Amino acid sequence: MKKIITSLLFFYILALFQTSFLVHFSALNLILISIFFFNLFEKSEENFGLISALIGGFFLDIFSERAIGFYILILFLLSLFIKLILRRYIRIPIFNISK
Amino acid sequence: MRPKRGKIVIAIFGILFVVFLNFFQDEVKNFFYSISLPFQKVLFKTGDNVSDFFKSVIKIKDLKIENEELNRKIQEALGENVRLREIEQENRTLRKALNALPKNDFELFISHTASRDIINPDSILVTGGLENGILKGMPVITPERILVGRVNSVYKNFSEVSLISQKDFSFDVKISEGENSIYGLAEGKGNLGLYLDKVLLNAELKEKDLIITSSLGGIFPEGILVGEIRKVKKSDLKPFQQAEVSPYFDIKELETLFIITRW
Repeated sequence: MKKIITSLLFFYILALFQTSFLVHFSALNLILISIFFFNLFEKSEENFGLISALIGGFFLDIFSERAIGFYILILFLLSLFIKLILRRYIRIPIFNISK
Repeated sequence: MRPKRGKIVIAIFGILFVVFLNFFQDEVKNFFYSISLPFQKVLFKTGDNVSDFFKSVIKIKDLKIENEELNRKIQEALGENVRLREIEQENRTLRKALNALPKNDFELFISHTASRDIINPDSILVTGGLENGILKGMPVITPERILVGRVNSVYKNFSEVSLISQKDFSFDVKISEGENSIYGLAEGKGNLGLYLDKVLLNAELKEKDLIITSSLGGIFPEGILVGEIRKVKKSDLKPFQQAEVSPYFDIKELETLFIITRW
């Protein structure tokens, strides 16, 4: 629960930063990048990457002109795809410590 | 088996919740925009200042040349201004003589940029919404009377503005050439790009020609500055000529805006 509240705050601040501060500099999508890395670097049995995709997608939807649900779906599918690739085809010894 | 069923139930509830949120989309978005506005204002201003600082450091070499060029333009503009004042005076006298006093100018609502769309660079969020009498389709201009775009969606206290560069957005424009005006269609091509289309092949388009709105389509009021022609594309194979257009508004400088509520 603590993790979810922290990520809610984290993605909200990221969205604010993106729409107000970073717009003057670049078109980097920090939320997308964060979700990509969360999924890439978490242990394969954890699901926090998927939850963060839902939260990040929600804030992308809020601060964009699309209907709510559009980016939630896209980021969720992206997270699932990363997880699938990592579970099936890639083994990173540092992040997948065998029990 | 049970945890799997639990997950499915949670997923179904999640989907239903998102669908449910869509029915109150305007209220939900308005709520988030309202609580975010104070932070966004500060961040927007800070970002603008920081970006200006870095820009000036990078461009310090070009500043002298730019300064000279601007001074020359000021001189030209002053001369033009004097000439236009004389014409205005003459115009008023003629109108008086014809008993046709000029109509009132636009009714405006002062608005401020709240944020930009995360994904779409051709969309901005501005203050002012249904509570302020803003309606979908109202034109948005800068204080210098440069066309910015059109209100696309309206929330309670905020409005989403589609910039004129929004892909598939088109409106009638004209290029004034003394007494003869060339008419065409300005079309957004996304990513802050704009081009001119449907201009007859025999019309003479030149680089730096000024483009202003025409009231033909009824989307925008007549005579608002849009931009200037950057590059003319003429081909005998096409029935019309096209041109790349540089919009006059600077996306990074859009702070105070006017929404035309009546014209």
